[in-house]
Amino acid sequence: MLLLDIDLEQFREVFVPSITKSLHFFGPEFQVAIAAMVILLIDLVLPRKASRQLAWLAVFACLYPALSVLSLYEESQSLFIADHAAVSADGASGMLAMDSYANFFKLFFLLGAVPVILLSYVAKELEDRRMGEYYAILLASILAGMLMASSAHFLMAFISLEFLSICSYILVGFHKNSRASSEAALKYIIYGSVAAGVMGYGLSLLYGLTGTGDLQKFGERLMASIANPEAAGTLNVTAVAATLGLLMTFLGLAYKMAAIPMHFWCPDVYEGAPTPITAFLSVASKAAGFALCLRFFSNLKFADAALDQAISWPVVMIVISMVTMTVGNFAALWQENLKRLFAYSSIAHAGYMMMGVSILGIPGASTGGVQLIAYYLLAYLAMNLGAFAVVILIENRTRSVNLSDYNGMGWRAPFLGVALTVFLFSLIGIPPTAGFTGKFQLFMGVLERAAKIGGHLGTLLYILAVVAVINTAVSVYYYARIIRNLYLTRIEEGGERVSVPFLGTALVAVLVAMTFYLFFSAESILDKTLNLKILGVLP
Amino acid sequence: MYTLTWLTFFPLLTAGVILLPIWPKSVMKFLAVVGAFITFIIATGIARDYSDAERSPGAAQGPARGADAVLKELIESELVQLGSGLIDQVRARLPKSADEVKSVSEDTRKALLVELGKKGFHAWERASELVVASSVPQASRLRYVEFAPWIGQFKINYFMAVDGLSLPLVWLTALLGVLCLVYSWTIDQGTKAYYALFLILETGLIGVFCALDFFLFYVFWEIVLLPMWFLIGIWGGPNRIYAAIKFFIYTLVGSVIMLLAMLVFYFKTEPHTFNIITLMGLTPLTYSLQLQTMLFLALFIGFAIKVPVFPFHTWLPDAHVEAPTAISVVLAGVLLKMGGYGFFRFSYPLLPQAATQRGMIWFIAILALINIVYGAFCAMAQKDFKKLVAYSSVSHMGYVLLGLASLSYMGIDGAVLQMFTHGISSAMLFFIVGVIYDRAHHRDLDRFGGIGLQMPWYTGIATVGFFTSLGLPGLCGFISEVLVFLGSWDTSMSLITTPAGDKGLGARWIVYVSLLGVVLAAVYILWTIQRVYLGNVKDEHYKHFPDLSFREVVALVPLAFLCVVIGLLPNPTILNHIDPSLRELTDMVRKAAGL
Repeated sequence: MLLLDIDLEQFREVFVPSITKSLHFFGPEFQVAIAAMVILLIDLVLPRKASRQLAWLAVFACLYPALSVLSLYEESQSLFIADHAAVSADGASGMLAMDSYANFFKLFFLLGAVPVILLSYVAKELEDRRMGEYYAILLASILAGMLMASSAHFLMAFISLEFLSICSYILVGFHKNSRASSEAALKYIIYGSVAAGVMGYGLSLLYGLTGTGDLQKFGERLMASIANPEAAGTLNVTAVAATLGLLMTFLGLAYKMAAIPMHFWCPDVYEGAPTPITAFLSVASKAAGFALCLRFFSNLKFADAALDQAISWPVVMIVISMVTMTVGNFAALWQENLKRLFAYSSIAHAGYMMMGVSILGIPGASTGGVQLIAYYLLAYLAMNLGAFAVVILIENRTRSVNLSDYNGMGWRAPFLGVALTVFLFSLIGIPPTAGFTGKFQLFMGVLERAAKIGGHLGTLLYILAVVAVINTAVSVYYYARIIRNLYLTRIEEGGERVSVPFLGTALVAVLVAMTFYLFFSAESILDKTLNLKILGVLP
Repeated sequence: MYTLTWLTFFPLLTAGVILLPIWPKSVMKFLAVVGAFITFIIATGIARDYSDAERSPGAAQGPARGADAVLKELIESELVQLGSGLIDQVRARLPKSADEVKSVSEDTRKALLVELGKKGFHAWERASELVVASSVPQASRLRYVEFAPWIGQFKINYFMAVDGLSLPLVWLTALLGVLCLVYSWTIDQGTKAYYALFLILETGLIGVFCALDFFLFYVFWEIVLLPMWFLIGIWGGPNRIYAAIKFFIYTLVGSVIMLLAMLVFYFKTEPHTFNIITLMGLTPLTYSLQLQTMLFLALFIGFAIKVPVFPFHTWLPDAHVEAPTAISVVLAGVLLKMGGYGFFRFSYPLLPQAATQRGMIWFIAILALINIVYGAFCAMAQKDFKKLVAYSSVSHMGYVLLGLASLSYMGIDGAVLQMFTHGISSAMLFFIVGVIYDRAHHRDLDRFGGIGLQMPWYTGIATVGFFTSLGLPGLCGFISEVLVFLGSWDTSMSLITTPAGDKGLGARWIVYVSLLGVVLAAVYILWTIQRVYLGNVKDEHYKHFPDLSFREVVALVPLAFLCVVIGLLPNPTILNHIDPSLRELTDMVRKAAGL
């Protein structure tokens, strides 16, 4: 359909200029891809011991493209235009979108990967492994995340999501001799394949209903046909099929975000994976899921009239948000293994962020859900990576991630103890930390709409806010349990110190600083996040 | 000058200094005490200048000027930034009063946005907020104003000031900070962390009382919670972890509900604002009674947990019993007042119609009654010395609620004074318990006896503390309790006793039954004195108890001195300074409620 009926002249006139023009904007992705391959090649000639030094090359391979992204930050383009019929119509029907939203997430992945790489470098569990392929695959998954954040077409969305998944499977199973690691990878693959299948089916339904794979046009057509069901004409849309398609697509994305009902893989995979990879999954992989999800669903602009009609999409999202945060928080209460605990905590945070997704289509507010989630993800990057950094540094010493081994740890490792406390308070959402501002904004977004629209949906939004508040209170218990073990169970001043490598200390210090900075200088950060624009979506 | 900022953050600064790894332990403690003492001096300076300014408002200069004048200047400086063209346009459109701001419709706002542009419109919004704030009568009493934009996108400001309501509590915090740090000299495990956390706590407490931006207030409110949790959980008694977690979860639940209420305030007000003084001007005009009632209840939960009001009080005895002495002192002396302060600063001025509807007066008055009587009965039943004092706090905070429910001049004066005097007397009582616990290592009232023979100085000072708590004339507790009772009895004003036709309850029995609290207090306190201090020495060990040490004298004597001075001279020491602000507040609430 896309390529078969093409004639040569059109190929020359439309595709070739489009591709050559797009390549310029595709620079950062190229750089990451090249770096990944260079690392693989160098790894062949390096002795095993020296291979871990490739981390520095990988860090460079993140920072340099980040600079290129910065130089392109304000660009707004549609890249790799494939659907030539659309070119004449409205000129925006590319495979990838280049906008400040995509660039924000590209920066997020590139800069968020730096701590992960450094953590892999200091982690003792990865010490005697050949690390070339590890860093190469890590870079590849960052590339996949960048593509996900900018995909503007069903095909691209699906391919990049699968790309990220396959990279993640390998990384999760990186300890190939460990049963837990292999089991985790297998579970991840099985759930992943189901999710991919469901999502593919959903996308095909939506394609069938609207006749386009372009995200922007698909949204317009779907909304138009829902607004006037009689006038749908040739499209023959039924709201049920649309809801089904959207729901199945969402399930595929929910798998990446670790939201209900696609969260089952989360605890086992988090537990079995190497800890730096757990950190990566909990932040970057989740962010990629949200990045695609937000771009996908912000194209659905529910008109006021359509809110209470057959397609109650916001209601579905609100319910999923409530259930996700509740399941995550309550399941976390009884966890003794920190990695499992953080897995459930990560589900709970997916639930909080889903609050932002659920208000996407609801009109009438100054700040959109997209912008709120962007800030929340930044906060989550700082606090969750920070928490994992401390867990890894302590694991280096104790070889354990059990809560009971943290007794008195705050006195044995004063700096790490204080830092972990800061991160946990931020995860709870207590000022003066980034987590508070993030949550605060999400509450604001929900309540602002609740106050504006009223009606059943307004009430439901109020209930959502109340449920989130109750969840926050519940989450205090399990986060506080960690702090309790750190400090309260026994005072061991002058006990055996846990030594920390300088790199680890510096990394944790930077993340602590970021957790506070995002709170105190919220104004300048909000200036960036609140102005994020998705190509083709009106603010 | 930034006097209030210095006052608030000086303890935090001190905490930063003592955390440096260069100090030996004793130097570190000394520095902490010096830091707290400087904070206390700043607070005393502010209190002195404030009372001068109250005496002759016209002559007030510099930071001691009233907030109404300062806010008017801020409007100008807001407009000046706009540049010559836009400034006249914005000024011409600027509303002159709260009523005008209220009547600006959604369409007008949209038109203004088009006419003035984004920048001009934002300036217009901020300026009209300040117009409302400067016209609120209470603003004239607020001094030491500091105002700076913080998070512009949500119009969150760094807005601090003090008035007669908050200043006594700020001063009390600074005083208790010094006394507690001196008293804690013997803490020998994790000393540095203890002192640092205590100083952070002090910053949070002072900030709570000074902040006039809802967001800022919430931030300080939460900052108080964290160090307190550690201080109870690490340095507390055997059951400390349970007590600390209970305290933490109770308070956090209360505060997140408050957070929701705060956001509803923000979005239901046009223009959206977190400025409490602006909200005071707008909410009584624009909110429906139903919305007000819902918000009132949400705020009530948050504050009632802190006070604590029955049935939210169960965390208090646990926390007190487990907390180390100095922490109990701050907990009872200042932390509980955060709740009371919240009622005076938020619930009543922001939601006057909800607060004065009959059902709500019943609700508050009955809870006050339960607090007073039930707290007293519980205190009487205790065998643990510290638990007894904890329950007496529950009982005494009931008077605050009673004065509040009456909403008469005297009742409100009495209630605020009661917060202050209870801060002094309960602090004393907890120090007194601490002194004996350090020697006997138990707190069982039945096993004490004859301490008076061994420790005469201690017993003498302890008696002052107990009699203050009991409400003996000549000591400060008496003044506040008498004012509360007179105020709630006052048949011309009190909402509790005025005849049922004029919005009052006509429920004199509430005051009668509350008086029972005074009798019960006499019972449990005299009984305690008898059991602990009088009679023969019950245990051979008690014969070796030394009398008060220097640090204990430093902690107790200033408080005993205050009890007597305020008890004898309530007007010049405190009432004259707090009365104008509170009168303004009472008038404002009564007027808004149509009384």
